[in-house]
Formats: sequence, structure tokens, C-alpha cells
Amino acid sequence: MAEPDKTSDDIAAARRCLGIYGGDLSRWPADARAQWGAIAMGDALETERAEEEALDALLGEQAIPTTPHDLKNRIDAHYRPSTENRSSVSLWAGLSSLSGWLRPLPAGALASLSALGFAAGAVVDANDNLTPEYEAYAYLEEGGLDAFDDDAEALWDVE
Amino acid sequence: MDQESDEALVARAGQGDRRAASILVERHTDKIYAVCFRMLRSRPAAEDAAQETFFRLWKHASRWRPQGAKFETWLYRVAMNICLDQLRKRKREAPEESAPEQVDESPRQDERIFAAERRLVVDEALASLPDRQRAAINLCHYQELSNIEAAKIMDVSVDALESLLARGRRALRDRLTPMREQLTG
Repeated sequence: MAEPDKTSDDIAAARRCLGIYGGDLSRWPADARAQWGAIAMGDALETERAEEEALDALLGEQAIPTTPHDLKNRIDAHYRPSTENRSSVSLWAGLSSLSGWLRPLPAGALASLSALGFAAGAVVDANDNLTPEYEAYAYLEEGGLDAFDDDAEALWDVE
Repeated sequence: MDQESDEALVARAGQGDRRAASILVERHTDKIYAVCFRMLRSRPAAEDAAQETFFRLWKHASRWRPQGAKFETWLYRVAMNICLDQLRKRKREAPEESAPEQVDESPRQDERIFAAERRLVVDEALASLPDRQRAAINLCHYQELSNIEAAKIMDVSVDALESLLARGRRALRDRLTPMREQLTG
């Protein structure tokens, strides 16, 4: 590749890009590639380029992690749109199943059974929530995304 | 329907559309698992982290708004935060294991010219990097994300990301010098 007129600043910038993005110009940001790519490929930085290309080659030999075959199914099986939606679906399902039993009863008995039904539904729903999957989900719900991000930001500051 | 944008799918998944959720899982699990595996270096831990990432997605799907960030960037960020949280817990529970590992300097180093062993040495060198440097290399080199996307995921400026990349690559170059010399002849 023909080397353009270059200053020591340009060579330093090209060297810096090699150190950040490596010897493969396709991995460089487009603007940096346009500005300093030719210099990086030239004689002035031959040694640095060879070192970075060697490192790229070593990194490229690392195996690509293979997703376990059942992971997608497991994630899919635990899909829950949100706690609110899940609760309302559960309540609706509970009421629907009760309606067949309640239809023939007189009004007074219906009122009593309704109250009993709500109480029982709450107990059933609470017990349902105690599955291991739900506990994991509830754990995730304890902190909001903001709190989670705060933790991450604190991590960034540690180093 | 598989060509539908991530953003539209997230909206539908948030409303309880299981099919939309399945498409998102199919579309993104491989990348999320890969980034988690490269950070945590353990298959079970990476599986847990990937699952947690999607649990968080389900939780926030109904309220998720693009706000200038691509959905995938947001998902990577959640995954990376979960991984860093896990790594922090590991260090708290077993601090002696978190000390940077030194590459074996014994004569056996010369024998590590076989590909499998060379991969192991590179893996150890990557593992010995500080978490943020490894995260930057993971996102930019292995996930092939742009510097702008990677900076957003890590919640740092592009300059800071470039600094992490430069320091990470420099450390790797130093640790892998014998092997690099073999490669460069």
C-alpha cells in the first residue's frame, strides 16, 4: 500500500490505533482507517503491525463458545412477560375455573364462596410462587435496573 | 415475522406474546451465551448468566423504550453487568483465586506449540486481565461490536474504552511474547 505524506503525529496516531484495534484494518473505526490505515500498513510501522497481527492470530484461535443445545428451550420455558401480567392471568384463570361451580348456587352462598375463593386463590398463587424458578425471578426483581446499573458503575470505578 | 425488529418484538413480548419472546431468544441467545462464557469461563455460570439476562428482559419488556440505544446494546449491557456482578462475588468469596495468574515461564512453555495448549495459554492470559479490560476485548474483538456500541454497553466514553483495549492488548502482548515470536517467525 502506498504511504501518504506523513508526519510524526500521524505515525503516532496510526501506532496508537494498531495498539487499540490490532493489525486488521477491518476492525478499525472507519474514520481512523481512512485517516491512518495506509500509514499503519506502511514500512514505518512494520514491526508494530507484525506484533499486533500475531496477537490477533492468537486471539482468533480461541474456540467459539457453543450454546448448550437445551439452553434456548430452558430460557423459553421460563418466559414471563411481567409480574403484573402474570398475576392478572393467574387471577383470571382462577375465576374462570370457579365460574362453572358457582353458577347453580344461590346469591348468599355465591357471595360466601367468592370470598373463600379469593382467599384460596391467594394461597394457591403464593404457593405457586415458591417454585425455584420463581424464587430466582423474585431475586432479580429485588433490585431495579437502575440499582443494578449503579452497582456496575461502582465496579467500573474500582479498577 | 422473524424479520420483525427487536424493538417491536420486545414490545409484543412485554404484552405477553410468547412467540415474540421465542424469536428474541432464538435471535440473541448465542451471542449472549458467548459473551457470558468468555467473561465467566464456566459453562454452568454462563448458562445461568444468560438465563438471568433474559429474565431481566422479560421483567422490563413491557416498559422498555429505545431511548437512543439499540435493543441488542441494552441486552449486552444487562449480560455484562450480570457477569461483572458474578465475578465480583467470586472475588469476595475466594479472593485468592482472583489474583492475576502468571503465565507459566517453565521450559514447558516451549512445548505449548500445539494448538490446544496454545489456546489454553491464551485463555489463561485473557483470564488474567482485569475484568474491564477483558470485557472490552470480549466485546470488540470477539463480538465484533463497534467501539461506540462497546462503550455504551460498558457505560464508558469511547476514549475510556480505547484505553481499556490498549492496556488489555498490551498486557496480552507481554504475556504471550514467546508464542507471538513463534507466530511471527
